[in-house]
Amino acid sequence: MERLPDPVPDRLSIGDRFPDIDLVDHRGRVWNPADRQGRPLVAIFHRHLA
Amino acid sequence: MCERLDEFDAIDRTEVVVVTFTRARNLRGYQRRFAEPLFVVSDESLVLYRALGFGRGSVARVWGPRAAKKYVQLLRQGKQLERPKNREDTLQLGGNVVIDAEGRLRWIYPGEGPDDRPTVDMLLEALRTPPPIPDRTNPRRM
Repeated sequence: MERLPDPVPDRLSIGDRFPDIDLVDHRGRVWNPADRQGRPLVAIFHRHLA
Repeated sequence: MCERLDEFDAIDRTEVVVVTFTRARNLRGYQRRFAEPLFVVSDESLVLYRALGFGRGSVARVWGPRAAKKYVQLLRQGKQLERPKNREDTLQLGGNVVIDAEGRLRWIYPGEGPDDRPTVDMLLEALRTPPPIPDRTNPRRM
C-alpha cells in the first residue's frame, strides 16, 4: 500500500515526531526525513541568501 | 561546519542536511554555490519553517549596515549582485534543529537575525544530551 505523508502540524515542539514529509533534494529525488534508518539528523534551515 | 562533519558522523552516523526554500529546480546550483558538500533539500512551501517557528526578520536587521557592508565588499571583489529570484522572501530567517534517531525533535534554535546561528559545538552538545523526561502533566512540554 502506498504510504501517505503525514500532514505537517501548525507548530512543532520539542519531543514531537518530525513530520513524515516528502521534500526534493538537489539531485531531483524525493527525500523524506523519516527514511533515515535510525540516524539522528541535524537540519540547517537557510535564510534567503541573496 | 564542513570541516567538522566527521564529529557529527561519529555520533550514531548523524546526517547533516541543509534545508532551503529556493525552488527545487534551482537546488543543484544552490548546493554547489552555498552548501557543498552538504546534502540540500527544498521546503519551497515554507511549511516546515513555519511549523518550527522560524520567523521573518525586520527590514532594518536584514538589510541594515552589516548587509550593506558585505555587499560593498562583494562589489569590490568584482562579484555581480543578483535580484532575489522568483520573489523569494528575503526577510525569512533560518534556524537549526536536531532530530533524534527515533525521529523526535530534540532541539530547536530559531535564528533571531540573519547572522544568528548556533555554533557547531552547540549542535554537537544537543546531539549528545539525552532527551528530557516527558512532563506528563502537559504532553506538549518536555
